[in-house]
Amino acid sequence: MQSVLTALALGALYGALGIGFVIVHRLTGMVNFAMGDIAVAGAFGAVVASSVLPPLAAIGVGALTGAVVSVLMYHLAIHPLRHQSLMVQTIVTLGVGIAIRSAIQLIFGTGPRQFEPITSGSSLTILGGSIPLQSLWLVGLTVVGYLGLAFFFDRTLSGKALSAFSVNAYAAGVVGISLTVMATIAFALSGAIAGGVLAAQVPTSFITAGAGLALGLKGFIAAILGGFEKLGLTLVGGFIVALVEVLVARNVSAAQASTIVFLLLIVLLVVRPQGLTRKVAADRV
Amino acid sequence: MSELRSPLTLSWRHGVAAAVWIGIVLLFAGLANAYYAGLGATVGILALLALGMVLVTGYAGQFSLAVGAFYGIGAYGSTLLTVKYGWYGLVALVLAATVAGVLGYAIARPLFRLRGHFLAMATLALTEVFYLSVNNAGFTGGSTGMGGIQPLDLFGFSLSSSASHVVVNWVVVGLVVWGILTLRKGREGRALLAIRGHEAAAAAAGVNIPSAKARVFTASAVISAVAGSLYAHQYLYVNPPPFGLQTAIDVLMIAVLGGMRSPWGAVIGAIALEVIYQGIEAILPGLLGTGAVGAGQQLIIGLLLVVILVVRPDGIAGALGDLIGFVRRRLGGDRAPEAVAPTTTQTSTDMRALRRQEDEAGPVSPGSVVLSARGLLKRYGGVTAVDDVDLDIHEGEVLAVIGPNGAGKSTLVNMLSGNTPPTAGTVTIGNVETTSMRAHEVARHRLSRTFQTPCLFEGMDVAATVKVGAHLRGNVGMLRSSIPTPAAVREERRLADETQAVLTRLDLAHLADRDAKNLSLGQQKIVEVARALVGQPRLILLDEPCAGLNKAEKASLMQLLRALGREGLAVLVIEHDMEFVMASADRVHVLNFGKTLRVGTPDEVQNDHAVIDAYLGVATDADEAAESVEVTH
Amino acid sequence: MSDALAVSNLSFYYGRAQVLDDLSFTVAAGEIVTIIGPNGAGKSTLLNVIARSHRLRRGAVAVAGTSTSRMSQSQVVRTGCSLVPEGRQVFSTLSVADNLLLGGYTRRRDNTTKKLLREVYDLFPRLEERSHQLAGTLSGGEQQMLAVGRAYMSQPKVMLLDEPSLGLSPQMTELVMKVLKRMRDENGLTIVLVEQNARAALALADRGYLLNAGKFVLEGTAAALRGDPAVKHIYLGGASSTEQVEGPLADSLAAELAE
Repeated sequence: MQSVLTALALGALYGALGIGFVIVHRLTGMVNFAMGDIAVAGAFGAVVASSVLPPLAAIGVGALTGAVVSVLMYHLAIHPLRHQSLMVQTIVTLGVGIAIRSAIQLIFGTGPRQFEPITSGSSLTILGGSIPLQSLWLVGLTVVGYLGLAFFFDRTLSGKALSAFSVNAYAAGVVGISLTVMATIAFALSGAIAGGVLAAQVPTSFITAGAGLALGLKGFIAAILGGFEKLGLTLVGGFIVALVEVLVARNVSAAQASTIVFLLLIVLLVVRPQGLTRKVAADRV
Repeated sequence: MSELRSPLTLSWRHGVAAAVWIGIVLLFAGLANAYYAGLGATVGILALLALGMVLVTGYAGQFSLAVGAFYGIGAYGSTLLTVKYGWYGLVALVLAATVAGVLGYAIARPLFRLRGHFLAMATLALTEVFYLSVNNAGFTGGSTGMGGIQPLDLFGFSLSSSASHVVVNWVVVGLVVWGILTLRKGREGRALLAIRGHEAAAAAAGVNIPSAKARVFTASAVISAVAGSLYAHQYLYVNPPPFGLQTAIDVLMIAVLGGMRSPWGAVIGAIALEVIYQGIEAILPGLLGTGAVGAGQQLIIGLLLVVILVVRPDGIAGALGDLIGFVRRRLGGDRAPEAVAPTTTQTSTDMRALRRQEDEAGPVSPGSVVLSARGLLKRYGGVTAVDDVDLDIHEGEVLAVIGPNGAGKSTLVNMLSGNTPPTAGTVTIGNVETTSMRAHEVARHRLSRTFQTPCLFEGMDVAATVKVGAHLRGNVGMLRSSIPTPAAVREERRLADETQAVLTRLDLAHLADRDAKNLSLGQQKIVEVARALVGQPRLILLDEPCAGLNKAEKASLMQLLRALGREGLAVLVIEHDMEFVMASADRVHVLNFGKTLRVGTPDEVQNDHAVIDAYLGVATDADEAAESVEVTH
Repeated sequence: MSDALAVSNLSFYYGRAQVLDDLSFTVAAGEIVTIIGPNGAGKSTLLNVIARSHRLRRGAVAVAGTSTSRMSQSQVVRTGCSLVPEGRQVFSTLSVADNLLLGGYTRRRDNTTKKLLREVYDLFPRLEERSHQLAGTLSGGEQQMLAVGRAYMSQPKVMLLDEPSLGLSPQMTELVMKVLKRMRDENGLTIVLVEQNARAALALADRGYLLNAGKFVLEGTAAALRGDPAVKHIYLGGASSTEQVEGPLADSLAAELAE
C-alpha cells in the first residue's frame, strides 16, 4: 500500500510531464526533448517566488515560468525552423534543454533547493500507508490540471481549434486557424502543467538543476503509454512508470530502479509503441 | 559527350591524398607539445564517434544517440579484457569491437522499426541504461571506474606518448573517412542515401531497407567501439561519465557544427568543438569565475546548437561546400547553369502521326502474361478505393490505366508493386505469387516503377539517382564497397556503363552531374523513368509520367514506350493526358469508383458512352443533359 | 460596384515547374463561375493560391474590392473568401457540429454562430440529424455537405469549391449543385467552382473558363462551352482518328503545337 501511495504522487508528476509531451506532439508532431528542463525551470521559478509568496502562489508562479520558457523556446528556436525536418526540430529542443539546464545551474548552482509545503502537518495515513499532505496537493493539482485541459479541449472553441489542427493541419488553415497562435497556446499549456506540477513536488523532496533529463525520459514513457494521444491514459501511464520504479527500488535495489525503467522504455517502444491505446503513434512520424 | 566515369576508381590521386594526410598527422605529432598532442588525440577519438554518426544519421537519415553505449562497450570491453584477463591489447580491441557489432546488429532490427524522435528517444535511453549499468555494477568498478590499463602495444611498439596517440588515432580517422567517402560512391552508400531521401522509392528500386539500416548501424557501433578502446588505452583509466549522454550530445554537436552529410563534417566539427571548448575555458573564468566553467560551457554549447541550426542547418561543412561551389563557378565560369540538351531532330509532335510511324517500325506482338492480378480489393476504413479488379499485362504490351480523379489508379499500382498491401485478391508475376511481398522483394521479380510525384533523393546527382535503380544488378556489400576491392570497382564500372546507356537513350547524359532535385519537373519525371529502366525490368509501371512534360518530351516518351514494347517489355502506364494514352497504348483499362469500367483498344474506349460519362460527368438536369448530347456525338 | 473576386496576372511555380501562367479573371457578385479542365491543369493550385494555402508570389488578388495579396490565410477568410478544399478535408475525429463551429472560427467574436448554424442545417437537414456523429463516419456525400457548410459558417462573400463532385454519385453531385445554386439565389453568394465533372459544372454555372497546362485556353458562357467540342478534346484526347479539332480552341491549340 505504501508503494501505491508513493507511486501515486510520483506518477502524477510523470503523468503531468507526459501530458506536456502529448499536447505539443499532437499539434506539431514533434517530441520536445527539453520538456524535463522546462519543468525544472518552472520548479526553480517557484523556489524563487516562495521567498516572497505563500507556497500555493509560488506554485502558480512555477506554472507561469514553465509556460513562458516553453513559449519562448517555440518562438526563438522552433518557429524559425518550421520548414525544416522534424529531426532538425528535435535536435534543437535537445540544445534548448542543455541551455536551460546549464543556465539554471549557473544561477542556482548544483545544490538541492526546497520550499515550504502548502499545508503543514504530518502525513495522512491511508490503509496502512502514509502520504505527505503536500503529495496530496500534488495529486490534486494534477487532477485539476487534467480536468481543466479536458474541458479546454472538449468544450472551448480554442481547444477544438487545437484538436482540429492536430487532425488536419491543412483544413485548419483553410478555416482560418493560425499555426503560430495554436502552437503558442500548446507550448504554454505544456510548460504550465509540467512546471506547476513539478513545483508542487518540490516541498516533499527537493529540486536540482540536473533533474530534467531523467524526469523528461520518465514523462516520455508515460506519454508513450498514453499513445502520445490520450491525456487520461498518459496519467495512468505515469502511475505505471512510478509504480514500477517504486517496486524495483523497494524489492531489488534503489540504484537499479532507473536502469530498469529505461530498459522498459526501450522494450516498450519496440514491442508496443502504441502504449495503452490501439493506434500507433510512432507510425505518424 | 564524355563517357560517364565510374566514380569508384583507384588512382594515383588516392596515394597522394593518403600521403598528405599522414604527412599532416606526423607533422602535428612532431611539432605539438604534450598538452596539444593530448588534445589532438582526444579530438581524433571524438571525430571517430562523429563519423559513426555521419553513417547512421547523415547517410541513412536515422537519428540515433546510441553512440555513448557503443563507445563505452569498446572502452570497458578493452579494459576488462586486458586488465582482468590479461589479453593482448589489439586482440581485446578487436573482440570488444566485435561484441559491439554483434550487439548493434541484434538490436538494430527491432530498434529501426521506430522512426524520428521515437528512435532518438530509444537510443538515448540505451545510452542512459549503459551509463547507469556501469555506474552501478561492481565488476566495472562502479562510479570510481577502473585503472591499470597498459598503453596499446602495436607489435612491439608501446604507444605511450601523446604523439603516438595522435598518429594512431588520426590514421584510424583517415581510414574511416576514406571508407565512408568510398562507400558513398558505391552501391550500398547510394542505397543508404536513397533511404534517407525517400524510403518508398528506395524500396521500389530493390533496396532492403531494414537490412541496410541494421548493417550501417552495426558499422557505426564498431567504429564507436574502436574509438572507445583507443580512449581506454590513451587515458589508461575508465569511469562512467564519458560514456553517458554528455558524449552523445558532444557528438551531436560535432555533427551539427560540421554538417552530417559528409565525413569531412565530422573531422571539421570535432576540431571546431575543441576550439570552442578551449575558447570558453580561456574566457569564461574571467567573466563568471572559475566555478562556472562547466555549466557555462554547456550553456554556450546548447545555445550554439540552437543558433547554428536556425542559421545554418547544414553546418560548417555545408557553408564551406557552398563557398567552394561559388569559387568554382567563378573560376570555371560557364559550367553549371547551361547544360544544353542535344537538339532533337524531331519535328512533329502530332501523337497520332507518330504512332503510325512507330507502328511501321515493327509490330508489337504481345506474348505471355507477365503480371496477373485477380480480385484485387483495397479498403481504407469504410472507403473502397479499389474494388475487385482483374488485370493482366502481357510481354511486349503497353497497357494504360485511366479513370477520373479518385478512381483508384494509384492504389492499384501500389498494390501491384508491393508498396500497399491489398485487402483481398492476388498478384502473380511470372509464376510467383507476390501478393504479400514487400516492395523490395517484388522488385527482385524484375518489376520497376515510377511515382506520381517524382521521388528523387536529396543531394544526389542524376547519374547516382539513376544508378540506385541498378541496385539489384550488383551485389557488392557495404564492407567491400568501402575498401574497395577490385571486384567492387569492376562491378561499379559495369553499373556505370549500364547507367550511361540508359541516360543516353533517354537524352539525359548531358544532365548526369546535375543535382536531380534541381531539374524541371519534366526532367525529374524522365530521371525516374531512367531509374526504373536501369534495373532491366521485364515489367515497368509508370504513374502519371506526363505531368510536367512539354509536347516534345511527351512525344519522345510515347515513342520510348512503343520501343520498349517492341523489345518485349511489359509497360503499364497511368496517365491523364488522353492524347498520350491513346497514342501509346495497345489496350486501355478504365477504372471508375475503384471498379473496372471497360477494357479495350484506345478506339473502343474513346467512343464508349460509359467512359465518356465517367470523364465528363453526367449533367444534373434532364434538359441540360439533352443539350450536352452534341458533345458526346 | 467592384467585382466580388478579381485575379490579375497570377503565376505560380512548384520549385521550378510553372503550374499557373499569368492568369487574370474577374467574378461579379452573385455570379457562379466554373473553372474546368483535365487533371493536372492547375485548377486546385489556383484556388489554393487565392485562399492562400499556397503562397502568392506573383500576381494580385482582391476580394470585394479589398486586396488580399498581402494577407495571411486567416485574414483572407475574414475578408470573406472561403475554400471548400478538394477531398472534403473535414476534421474526421471531431463531431459534425464541432466541424461547423470551427468553420466560424474567424467570426467567433461576431455572435452570429447560432444564426449561421441554423442556416447550414436548413440547407443540409442531413447534417442536423448527424450533428453529434464524428465527421469521419459520414458518407462521402455527407462529408462534402459538411465541407460546404463549414465554409459557409465563415460568412463568405466568395466561396471557392475544389471538385465537390469528386467520388460522389451523380445523385449526390446533383444535390450538392442544387444547394450551391440555392446559396447564390437566396444569399447572393459568389461561387467559383473548380470541376473535372465539366457537365455538372457547366449546367450550374453562368460562365466558365477552360484551364489547360496552367493557362486559360477557352472562356465563355456556360451554354457556349457546353457545345464546344474542344472541351471533349482536352478531356479525352484526339477523339476518333478521322475528325479534326474545330471550334474556338483550334487557334490556341495550333499555337501550342507550334511551340
